[in-house]
Parts: sequence; structure tokens; C-alpha cells
Amino acid sequence: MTTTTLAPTPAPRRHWLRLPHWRFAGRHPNGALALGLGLLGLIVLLTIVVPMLSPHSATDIAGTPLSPPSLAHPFGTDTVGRDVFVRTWLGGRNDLLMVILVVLASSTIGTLVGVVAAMGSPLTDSVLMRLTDAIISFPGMIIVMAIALVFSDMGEVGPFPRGALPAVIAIVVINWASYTRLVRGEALSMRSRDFVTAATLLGYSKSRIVTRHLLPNLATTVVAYMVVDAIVAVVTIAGMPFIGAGIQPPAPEWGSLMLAGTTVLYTAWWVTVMPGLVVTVYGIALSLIADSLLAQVDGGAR
Amino acid sequence: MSDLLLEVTDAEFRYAKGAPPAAHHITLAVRAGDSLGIVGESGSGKTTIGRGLVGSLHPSAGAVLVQGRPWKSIRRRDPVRRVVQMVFQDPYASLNPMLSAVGTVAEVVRVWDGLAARPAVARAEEILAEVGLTGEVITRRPAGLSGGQRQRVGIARALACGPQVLVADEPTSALDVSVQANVLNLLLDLRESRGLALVLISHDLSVVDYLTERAMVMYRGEVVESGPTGSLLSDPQHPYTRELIDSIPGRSALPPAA
Repeated sequence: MTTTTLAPTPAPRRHWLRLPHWRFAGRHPNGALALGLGLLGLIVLLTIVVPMLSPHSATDIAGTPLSPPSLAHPFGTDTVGRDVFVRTWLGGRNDLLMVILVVLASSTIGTLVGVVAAMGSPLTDSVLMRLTDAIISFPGMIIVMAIALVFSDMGEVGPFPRGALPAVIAIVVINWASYTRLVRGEALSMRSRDFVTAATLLGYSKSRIVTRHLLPNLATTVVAYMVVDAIVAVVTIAGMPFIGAGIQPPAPEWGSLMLAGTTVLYTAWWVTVMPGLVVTVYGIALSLIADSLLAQVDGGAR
Repeated sequence: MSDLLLEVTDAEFRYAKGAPPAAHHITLAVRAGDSLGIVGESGSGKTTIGRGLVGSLHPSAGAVLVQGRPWKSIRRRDPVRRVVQMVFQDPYASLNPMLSAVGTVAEVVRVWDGLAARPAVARAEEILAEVGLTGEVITRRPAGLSGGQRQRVGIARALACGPQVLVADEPTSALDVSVQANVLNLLLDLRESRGLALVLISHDLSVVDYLTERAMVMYRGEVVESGPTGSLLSDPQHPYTRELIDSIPGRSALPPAA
């Protein structure tokens, strides 16, 4: 008998061009997640710290109108001489508070309705899903404008400046439906999986099946969608001043800051571009987080 | 009290009203300690019968009785529900991906025996040890377990509510050949140690031969032959049974007597 010896497999050689940071951000999902969380953390930190430490308030006339970026005013000044740097980060704080409220309320309502539709009787499912379809098919901006107008008298509430809560209510009213669609679909496909059948055969109550078996398995998908939704929500919030809704001046907000700069875009680009850059970085950060979470959802499915 | 645990009388199963029956004219009885094999090709209706036996599919005609009671009359927390439990074909899909092995089994103990968290975990550890899982491995979620380990967790979960009948639907078909024998031997040991009745659903006659004393052969939704497994294999009467036997490597049925 002859014995064959296998040669050891040589270790793959690292290419000199494969720099660590490439692998960190681009190839490893946890690296992208860390980068995304880092950028988001930085934005959140600046929205807290800058308005507290800055010598100027958001409404002070801090310098000559339309001064370009300088050491004293890193993002320049706006048409009345207010510091765009302070206004951008205070505006970011307002926007982020609204985004958090929009995403939490929408996901809670949407998940609840989606699970009830998936686990309820065919009649319950039918009624809830037709309601969801009606919300999704109705032009969202019209509902947003209508609700924002109805609640336009609502003043400042807690940390929310005037106009913020009506905007949040308006967005939540149209936004929960997309979570319902997502959760119902996922819950229906999960309901037919063997582990849910096993739970049913074992006599578990519906509430136990939902809370212990369905919701924990839906969580990653819902959280990934919440992150994507946080990007859409900030764009919607920033778009509201363009239709006369949302946070009312003089309180700053990313959308109103950019809108204020459009009239002087060619002469004082910084008034629009600087808050726009921050919104872009915010969007990139959340995209990186969402991609990493979605990769985990796909990985789990495999 | 009669030792008749499961009784199926001229049952017919359909997946939707008006759809053709997936299995019909099914009659069988399972007594304490019995072992019954249901064998047939894919689509022959054997899994449908398995679903009917555990009450997840109600018969459109005839009856399926558990200790003399139809499944429809058995409520969620009725103690009769404990009598019949199921082991699934796909050990990964049958376990909650978010629960550890010990968590999966402890949950059953908590629900059925009303134990607090700590005693339930202790009891779950005992049951998992009975199926050969001990140590750190029981704290892992399904993704961290091998196929054989997952199937053992599935068996432990079924055992946790103290069943008298175990319906195993192709319990080894998703496992590596090397692991299949371990799981089959485990089922054999549990039958003996717990006095369990076993209904084994399989397309593999040699597995049915190894584990069961009686068998029925399904073909296109009907039982074409049934009897003691040994005589079914040595003296098949139906051409389809002979085909099944011929498909076992190294074994073929004798030609029918002239």
C-alpha cells in the first residue's frame, strides 16, 4: 500500500495594496458598522456640544452678513450675520430629536399592526392591510401639509421648537404603514417555519409566540429598516420648510438652513452647502450602519 | 383505561377546501410502546399523515383521536396535548434562532410544569443530558450547533413536556450519514428508556426497518400495504413496496410467488 502525503496549503500572500483601512471600511461588515457608528456618534456629539460651548447663540447676530468660512465662523455667516456653524449643529439637534421620535413611533405602531395582521384572523388581516394600502397609496405630502396645518397652533413642547411636533405627527401618520407591510410579510413567512409550528404544537399562547419567537427574530430586520428610515425621515423633515411646514423660524433646522441659502447660493455657497454636507455625512453614516445590519440579516437567513 | 394513544379512522386530509386529498382512507392505531413506520416517496402523503397525527392538520373526513378525543376538542393547555409531540425534518428550521439549546427546552418546562426560571433550566439540563448534550454546548444558539446537535435539541424539546408518542418526520434526512446513526440510536434508546411510542415517517426503508416493528407503505395518498416491518420487507405484496425494497443498495425483493 502506498501512502500519499498532502503538501500543506501555503498561506495566501497579502497584497501590499490591501491596506488595513480598506478592509476595515469596505470589506468587513463590522468595520463599516464601526465607521458608521463613529460618524453618527460624532454628529450627535457635535449637536450637543457646539450649541453649549459656542460663544454665539443660534439667533445672535455674530458677524457681518454672508461672511465666508473663517476660524471665528467655521461655516461662515448667513444673510443676517448669524453663525451658520452653531445654527447647523443646533438645527441638527432639532432634526435628530424629530427623527428619533418619528422612527420610534412609526416602528412601534407599524410593528404592532403588522404582527396583529399576520397573526390575527383573515378578516383582521384584510381590514388592517386595506387601511395600510390606503395610507401608502395616498399622496404623503398632502397628508403632511394637512396635519401640519391642523396642529399649526401647537407651540414649543419640551425640547421641541414650534412646528416640530405637528411635523412629527404628520410623518408618523403616513410612515407607520411601511413598517406594517414589512413586518406582516416577514411574520407571515416566519409563521410557516417549523419553529413556530413547534411552538404551536407545544401549546404556547399567541402572545408568547409573538413576544418570544416572532419579535426577536424580526428585530434585526426592523432595526435595519429603522436606520434606513432615519435617512428618509431627515430628508422629509428637511423638505418640510419648502412647503411651509415643519420647525418655524427663527429656530434652526437643516432644511430651513439650506432653504435660506438658496437665494444667495452663487455668492455665499456656504450657507447652503455646509449644512448640506453635514446632512450628507449623516446619510452616509446611517447607510453604512444599515448595510451592515442588512448583511447580518442576509447572513442569518443563509 | 385503554392503552390506545392515537387512533386514525378512515381519515382524509386536504390542504384546502375543494383541493384533491393529500391522503385518504387512512386507518391506524398507536398503543403505548408501539413503533410504527410510515414509508413512501416524496408526495405520497406521509408527512400529511404526520401533521394530522400531531393535530396541525385536521381531517376533512374520518377522525384522528388522541386518547379517544378528537384534536379539535383539545385546547391549547389541555394536558392531552402533551401526549403527542413531533420531531421535525429540518433541525435548523425547527429551532428558534434566537434561543439557546437550554433556553428552548427550559421554555417548554416553564410552560407545562409551571417552574420558575432556575428550576426550569436545571430540568432542561437534565433532559438535554438525556439526549447526549452537556456542558457549554447547551448555551449555544442553533447557529453554533452541528446538525446532529440541533436535532438532539429538537428531540429534547419534544421530550420536555413528557409525551407518550413521538412523531418523527424524516428525523435524519437532513443530517450527514455519519450523524444519522447516532440520532437513530438515540430514538431507539429513548423508546426503551421512556417506553415511548414512535411513529417514524421516512422515505428510507432501511431506517424504518431498524427502528420500527410495524410499517405502512404510502403511495399517492393511500396506504398500499401494512404489517410487521420484517414480513413487509421479506415478503412484499404490493409492486410499489417491492420497488422501494429494490431501491435499498444491496438488497432486493424476491419476485412475487407465481
